[in-house]
Amino acid sequence: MLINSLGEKWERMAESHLIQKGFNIIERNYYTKMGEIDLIMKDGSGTYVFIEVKKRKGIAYGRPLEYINARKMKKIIRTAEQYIAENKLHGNDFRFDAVEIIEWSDGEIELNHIENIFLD
Amino acid sequence: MLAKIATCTLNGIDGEKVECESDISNGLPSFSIVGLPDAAVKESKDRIRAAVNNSGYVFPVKRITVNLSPASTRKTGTHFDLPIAAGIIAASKRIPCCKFKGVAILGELSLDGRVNGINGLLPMLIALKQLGVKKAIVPFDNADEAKYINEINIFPARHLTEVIDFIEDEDTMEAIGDTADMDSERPIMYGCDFGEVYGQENAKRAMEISAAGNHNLLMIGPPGSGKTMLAKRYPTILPLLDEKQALEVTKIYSIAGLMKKRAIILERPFRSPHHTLSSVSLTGGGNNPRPGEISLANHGVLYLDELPEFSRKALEALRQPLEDRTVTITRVNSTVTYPSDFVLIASMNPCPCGYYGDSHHECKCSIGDIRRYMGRISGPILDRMDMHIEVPSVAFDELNDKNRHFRSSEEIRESVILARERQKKRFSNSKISTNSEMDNRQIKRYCSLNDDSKLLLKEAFSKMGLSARSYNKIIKIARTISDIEGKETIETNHLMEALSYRNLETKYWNI
Repeated sequence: MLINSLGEKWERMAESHLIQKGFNIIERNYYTKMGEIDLIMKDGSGTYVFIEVKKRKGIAYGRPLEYINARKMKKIIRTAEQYIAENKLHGNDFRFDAVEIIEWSDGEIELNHIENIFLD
Repeated sequence: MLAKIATCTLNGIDGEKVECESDISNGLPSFSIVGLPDAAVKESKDRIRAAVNNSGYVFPVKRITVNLSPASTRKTGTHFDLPIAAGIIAASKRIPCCKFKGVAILGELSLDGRVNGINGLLPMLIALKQLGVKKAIVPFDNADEAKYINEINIFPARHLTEVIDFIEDEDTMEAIGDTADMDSERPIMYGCDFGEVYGQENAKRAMEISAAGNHNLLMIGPPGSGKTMLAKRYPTILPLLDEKQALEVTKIYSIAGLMKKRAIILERPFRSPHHTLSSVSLTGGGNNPRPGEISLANHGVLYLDELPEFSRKALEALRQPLEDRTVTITRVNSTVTYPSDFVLIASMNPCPCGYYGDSHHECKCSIGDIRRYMGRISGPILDRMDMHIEVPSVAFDELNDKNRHFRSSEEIRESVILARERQKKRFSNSKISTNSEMDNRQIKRYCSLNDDSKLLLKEAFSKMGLSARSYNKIIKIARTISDIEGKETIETNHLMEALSYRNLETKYWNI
């Protein structure tokens, strides 16, 4: 597992936000050769949710979500497939969510949770 | 959960039934359409997702597979949006499959869930009818086109929600009333009439013969002599389409997206493409073949103004469709056959400056210029033009002769219709209906000549250097002339008139 103390802080913030929303944590920083999934959780209805957390300082270079591109999506999907295979979770419902965190220059933190970020 | 909905696809001008199967299962969320969809069908994914979400339904976050079966034929067009969307909603709402029994769905979706009009509705409905489909949901915008299809209940839909409500509970949509009668369509206004053309009696007579027997016509004359004016009035002397022809013409117009909210096309098409057109836009073609100008002119008129200005490739492409009356377009993806049963009217100047042989102007062209210009019309094309006529410039006195009565379009049309009826009667037990379509056997059977005529023809054949094809064409034209006059046999004066429509080759092409 990669030690990434900078990212971890924001991932914990996203996790506690989602737990408040009724999610249960299953796995943190699931890491494979193909890529990494920041959080794997289960929502209220029992759907497995793979969560990508993106954080930026300000939006001068675009919003954090814009950094989740086709390549990143592919990585996440393949990692998720591996996770499903490893844990024999076939037949369950799955979803991909994102949490974007923006740290504005005045120190204020903005957190958005976006459900179902990609299909097909 | 699975939903199956009947829909249709087009191959050429014929429809083919397609079963749209939508399956929703657990797994990683994905949305895929299989069954050889083309780019337009693949794009429908995004429209469908937006339309479903914006119509108050939830687009399922599941593994969605849509199959368009039979999976081996290529599917084109935007009309798959509605059946796919309805299938996905039905599958996610767990509406049992038996609810769809017998309903075919066709329609394009807007992002807000509204149903948009589609191209090719009429041919698809005709195909579905033949396959025994009894009910069809069609876009409200197109519903007029469905007016003349009987034996099938048509439900026009404006919005995706209407379609879903209809599937869940059949009473929500009303079928459009009984099929309308074609004769009830309002009379066609052409906006022009042969009575407005002063002089040019010879050309009018030639047009009458051409219209009566479906003979191709080439007009040669100086600028401003009225060639275009005459050609524009040509459709006004043609009889209206009969029911079978009207459906055939409407089918092609529906595929080409030229219906413009009309229910049916009853008048003969008149296509006058600009001379810059390419050979493909003339014959039809493209990766996914579309009908060209010759097919849009089916059962009507193709008018080529300034014939020598057309590209050689385009003109030569006309040869085979002119003979066969169909055109077969072969591409890697598909082979389609479109009908191209049209009469070709063409006009041209006799030389680049336009005044060769004119009595009022001097021609400034050299012999070489004229030969080059006329040479753009190849022998084979010229040979296929049944009648060649000169349209000379009009004398001042004729233009101002207010007292003279010129035959109106209606008068000419009556004589054309009578002549056509005689032909129809003669050919009642064969496939053809006009003289120009006769083959060699039919010419032998229906066009017997007396001894005088035979002698005349023999002399003309050697003097004018006629080809075997033009020899037949002359006899066919003579047959039409005698039909206009109501005679059973071809008389010598009919033959002489027919010969007079073939004598320009020496004047303009052999200088």
